[in-house]
Amino acid sequence: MRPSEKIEELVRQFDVDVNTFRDHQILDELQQVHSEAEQSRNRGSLTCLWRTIMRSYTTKTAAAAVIVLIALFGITSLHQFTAPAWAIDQTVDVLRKFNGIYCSGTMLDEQGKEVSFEIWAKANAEQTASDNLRLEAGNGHVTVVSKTTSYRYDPDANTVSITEGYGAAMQPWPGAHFLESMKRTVLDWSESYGKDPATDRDRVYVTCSHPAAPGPRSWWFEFDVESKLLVGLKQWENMSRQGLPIFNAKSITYYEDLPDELFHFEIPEGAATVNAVDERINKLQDPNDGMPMADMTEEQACVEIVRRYWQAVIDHDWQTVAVLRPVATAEQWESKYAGGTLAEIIELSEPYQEDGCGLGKIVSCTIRFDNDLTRTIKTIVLFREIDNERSCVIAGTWGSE
Amino acid sequence: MIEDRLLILRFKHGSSDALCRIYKKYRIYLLKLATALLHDVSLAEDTVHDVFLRFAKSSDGIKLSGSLKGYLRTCVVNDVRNKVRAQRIRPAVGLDDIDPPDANSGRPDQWIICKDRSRRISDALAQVPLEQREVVVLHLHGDMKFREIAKLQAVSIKTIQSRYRYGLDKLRSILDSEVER
Repeated sequence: MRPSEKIEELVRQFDVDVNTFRDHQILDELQQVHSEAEQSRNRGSLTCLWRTIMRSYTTKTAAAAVIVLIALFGITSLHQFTAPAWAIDQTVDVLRKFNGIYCSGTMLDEQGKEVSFEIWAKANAEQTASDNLRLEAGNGHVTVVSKTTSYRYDPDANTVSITEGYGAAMQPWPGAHFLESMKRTVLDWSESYGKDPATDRDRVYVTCSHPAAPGPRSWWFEFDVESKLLVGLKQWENMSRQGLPIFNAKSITYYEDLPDELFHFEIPEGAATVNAVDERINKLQDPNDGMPMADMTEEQACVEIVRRYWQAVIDHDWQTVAVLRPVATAEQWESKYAGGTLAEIIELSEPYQEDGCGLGKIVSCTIRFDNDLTRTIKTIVLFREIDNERSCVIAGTWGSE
Repeated sequence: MIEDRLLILRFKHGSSDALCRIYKKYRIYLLKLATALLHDVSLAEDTVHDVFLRFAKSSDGIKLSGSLKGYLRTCVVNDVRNKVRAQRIRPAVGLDDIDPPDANSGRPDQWIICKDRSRRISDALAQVPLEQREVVVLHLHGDMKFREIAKLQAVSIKTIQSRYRYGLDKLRSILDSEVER
């Protein structure tokens, strides 16, 4: 080793440690200072219009991380806006310029347990869904979606499930289009005025509900009067906002943009990688499930299984639903569609292949609800050949359901 | 890098947890830099403490063009320079002027714990002119490239390389016996 390298090596050995007691004292002090600064900032006038607290909503897939905001239907709005200080159109206008959001809070997992989460997402060009998304759940599950690949990390299994294309999306995007849709579609819209106790800022609180989105849903929104922004949202899977909200984002910040690097994913050391499509296909290979194809062509079988599936949902025949779509039990399907008011199948499309969907072909099914609303759901059909018998199953839906 | 961007975003929305993680992630790194640059435990503690206090107060005003680590490091280096200027008009408290630290408990008012070998290295660094010391410390402990240090000191890379070489030569003459061990 050359003398200069010896000196470098020696100097590198210089090190310090910290007195733990004093270290904790300083950290406490920093947190106190930070807390006071935050409170002071919130009490002050609106220095950053975009900085707000908001909540958003998704289906019950917290840790599993498929985020699908509840789509709403075309119902004529019955409510009127009487307060001059705020109108949802103002919020809609303000939200148009924001293509990124961050939100954090809690949602219920499939066992009904609250799980904390943080989400970063960027909207697509039309602001109808997210292009990029990053979800970090409190239980260690991480989902990262970019334009080309989706990653889902399961810390318990230490596996990363990889999907080419979008494996999850925030759809619809919680922006201007979404609120316009809310304005048109929800029922029993009710507004009240108040103040945020933490910041003393004027707030508008809105409650509303919908009987079939697809099951009963109710919401609580909070808008900041000065910024016009949505600053709070909770969603329940019932009409009366009873019990824990299924989605309760406690903090959301709107951004004009977010850095792409937020949506890069590094596979944790030692984690096994699995192809998500293969994984899903492997789970759908039970010969007791699905629909035998017999002499049907793939096209005929596609349309027939989708027809049978949605008819079973309309008939509340949960056993058949679970056989045709064996990714959940009859009880789970009953719970998912509880209170739904699907009335009849209006139309089934020809099967087609959607770009990025590696599971199978898609049939679009248009369904009418009791209140004459209609909705089109893209249903994915997977073909199998088990023990020389051809059959097919419903593998999922493409987009929101 | 991505983790830091996430931490900064959380911090900017008011997350105290993010502040805590940033603190725990970088405090040793910054304390080491400050101590090596200043050769004064009290001043080094003050420097890093001040940097974190300002950081904690100004979450909405922070605009990072580079890394979080680089941002905090620059804050510390700038503070060190200010303190060195101020120190010229008052006596310094060196590493040898404080009581030997107890590695297990330490005094309640003392934050930094410095072991014997590190004290000797610090003593040697203290004898190196500040400009050279800064290059040596920032390169060997700050993980900075000469190009980055040149930008920080607003001089050419060649000047930085010279300062580094002279700094190492000076250290060699001071630490010869250590090197031979």
